Amino acid sequence: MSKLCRQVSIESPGPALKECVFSFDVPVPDVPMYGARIRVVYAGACYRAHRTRSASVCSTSSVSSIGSLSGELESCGFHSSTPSHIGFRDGALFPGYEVAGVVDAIGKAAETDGISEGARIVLYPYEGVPHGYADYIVVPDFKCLVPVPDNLPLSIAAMLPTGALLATNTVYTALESLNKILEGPNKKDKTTVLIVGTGGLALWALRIASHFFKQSPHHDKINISVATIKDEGFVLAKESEEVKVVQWSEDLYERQLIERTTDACGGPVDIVLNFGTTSRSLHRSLQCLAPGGMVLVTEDVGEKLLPKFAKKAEDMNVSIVVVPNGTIEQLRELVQLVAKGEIEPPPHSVFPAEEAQEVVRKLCNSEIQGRAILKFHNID
Amino acid sequence: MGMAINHVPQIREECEVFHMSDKQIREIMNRLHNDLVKGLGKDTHANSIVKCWITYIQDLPNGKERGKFLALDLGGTNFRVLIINLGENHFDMQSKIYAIPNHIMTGTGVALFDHIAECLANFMKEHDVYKERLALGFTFSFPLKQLGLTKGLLQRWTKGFSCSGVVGEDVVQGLKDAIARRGDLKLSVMGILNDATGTLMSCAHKEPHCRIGIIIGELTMISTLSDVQIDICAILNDTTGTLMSCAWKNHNCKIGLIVGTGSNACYVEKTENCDLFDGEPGKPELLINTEWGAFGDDGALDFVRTEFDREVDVKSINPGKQIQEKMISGMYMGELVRLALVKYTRMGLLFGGRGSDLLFQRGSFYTKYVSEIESDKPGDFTSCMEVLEELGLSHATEADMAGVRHVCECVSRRAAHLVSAGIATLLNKMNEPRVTVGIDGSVYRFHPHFHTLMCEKIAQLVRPGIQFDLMLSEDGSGRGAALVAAVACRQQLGHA
Repeated sequence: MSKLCRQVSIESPGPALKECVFSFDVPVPDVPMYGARIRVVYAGACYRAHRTRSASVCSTSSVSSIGSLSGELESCGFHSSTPSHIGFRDGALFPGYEVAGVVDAIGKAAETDGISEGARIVLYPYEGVPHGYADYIVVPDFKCLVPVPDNLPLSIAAMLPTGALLATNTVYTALESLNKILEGPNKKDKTTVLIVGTGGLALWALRIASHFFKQSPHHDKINISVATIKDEGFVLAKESEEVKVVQWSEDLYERQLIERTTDACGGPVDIVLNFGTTSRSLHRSLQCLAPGGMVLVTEDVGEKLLPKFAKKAEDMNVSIVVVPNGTIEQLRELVQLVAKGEIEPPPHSVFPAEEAQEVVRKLCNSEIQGRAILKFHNID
Repeated sequence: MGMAINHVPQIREECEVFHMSDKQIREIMNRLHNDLVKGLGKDTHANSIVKCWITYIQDLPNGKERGKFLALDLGGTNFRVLIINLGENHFDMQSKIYAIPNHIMTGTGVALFDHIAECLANFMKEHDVYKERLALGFTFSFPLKQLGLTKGLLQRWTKGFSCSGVVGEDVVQGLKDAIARRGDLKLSVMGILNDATGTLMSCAHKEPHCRIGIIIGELTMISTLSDVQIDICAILNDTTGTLMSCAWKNHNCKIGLIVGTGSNACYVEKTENCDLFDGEPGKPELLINTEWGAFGDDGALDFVRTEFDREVDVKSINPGKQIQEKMISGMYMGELVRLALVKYTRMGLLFGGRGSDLLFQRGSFYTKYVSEIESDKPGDFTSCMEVLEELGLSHATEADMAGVRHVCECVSRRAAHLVSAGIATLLNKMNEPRVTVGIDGSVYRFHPHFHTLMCEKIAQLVRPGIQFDLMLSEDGSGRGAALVAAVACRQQLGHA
């Protein structure tokens, strides 16, 4: 096909919030042999993950997009730490790739496993995903597609591939550790998990943690606390009676915040789920931990900050654990759990894809309650 | 690639506006002294800027205070509920910090007191003090016109609070009303006076509102009248608490000072100087809450204020009020630094003239940054660099960081000097040979040089022959409140 379609790519916001969303026209791509072409209906608003090798040009982008490359390169290596926009600290804005759509065309040699043209799917974020969300994208390997049951709206499905998946994997890791602590030689009477933030990612973690912890034999010994960054977060976190809330008012001194946290949680905590990407936030989390405790961080945070804090953590007898994105099996399970209503998705709002720049600005300031979803096509 | 030009000399020149000469400081001391006298005088009090409220506390702790007390602490950094046990030479304390969301800080008074009562009930549940009848000290750190130990009218809100329907009203009554509204802290008569104690106790366990403030065996002591379990409530402010708490440890403590979210001082005045005291005569001393944060509201400080002070004031929730406080306290210190940095950036003296959206955002330069930046050893800029990166200014050069540090030092030094001038004024007025000043507050606690700056400056300003020392007072709001409640109990029971 020689038709054009639009592509929206969201880069990592730098110190000046403008110029991180690029829109341009790209040709509708050809179907890869072992893969499929997907018509994107909804995309979760998150920015493109930076890996040092990602400066390569995407084969599906047109020549006119080269202009954005220099912007890419500049934002690529020069920031060793992220400016502390509230959206980053709150878990509202994070790197990832989330697409929910419809199978548009299937490659000749693809192993479809029962998925046909027109099927509703979400895309597992494999290595080398396209550089942006376009009306049509191609997936080289058909196996990265996960079917979406009819009773699960695509707008909700679009929140799963990175946000919920990452939260799930983090919760799994936390649960493994908690079980070790509760069953181990120094059996503890109670353990506390602190989730930092009430942005979309943190809210997923809260709901997924509540769900999975209930199934643990030790569930009555696991307490969940939430550190709110924004005032409105207070309301969001209070959805569950058992969840303790501590206000991380940024204008307070670090020692005061740590005191406040250990006070609200009944002592130092065992595990911190910190999706916030600032150095300060990580340092603070470390100081709230009990000996032997751990902070779980995402891969991009780990890459940036682990070198800086590894020694300090060791001195404090705590650890920083990097949690990778979840597996495709976890994504399948997640789709089923959400479709069945066993895990309720966080609040979310849908915006037309044209408004992506404004949406990102709002996410940086954590002005959107829950997740933001971009809409590309009118179906459903 | 251009050469990084060092603009530090120009920044130093610009920062001269923050410098106060000795002559200016002595003028400030004169003006403050006059305002204090006006506050204490019968005919001048109504129009005075520095109010010098009577606290009705005439006894400092005598060391014989005993027992268990509840305390509430509102207006500082945290809202806390505390339970304090005063023993012979020790005390133990348990507390819990509760969040106050912004919408409650700026909503209705009813919502605020309901929230406080809710936290109190929650705390009492957790600490299982339902069976006890306790006195409560309420540390309420806002300008208060006290009409007695257990009654105080809010004069105005400060420190970011602005709840409707509270100004001019009795704050203790506000709390009592909220407790009454709750129902679960009410006393209800269970009508089982003749039953065995065991039944009563088990009843108390099951029925949360069966309040039996009794000791086993004394069934007739069940109160049928009071509808609150909280017996006596004394109201005080954080400077009073600081002084009382320090005085418990150090009997020379005669001044309590707060340099935190706000700034205020209280001190021991001679009763004969306090025209407005209408309590029982006979005691020579009386604690005065100066509310000196308002000094300058009539323009008395305009000769040393800068454009940055004026901007902070205009944009604040209470323009024209608390002028001195806005030059000293943590609520505004960071913002003053930020405004100066913004101006110097726009002049091209910092960051190559290129700021960031966070730098230009009001409130983004937290006061804690000032302490962190000034904690770096001279010549080292590690913390400074981290702060600037957080603000999106990672392109800062070493010269920029030196400039930023200098601005921080000028602003914090001015604050320390203003506070020192105030303390020296009080010391000179009291004219006692030896005085300990009890101090609390996040700025004083966490700023690396504040204490030293104060020691140096007060020594320069105080009359020769007056010895003073500065002592960090711990937990004024907790222990101090308990001590004031103990004093209130003592006074109520008619003990001297």
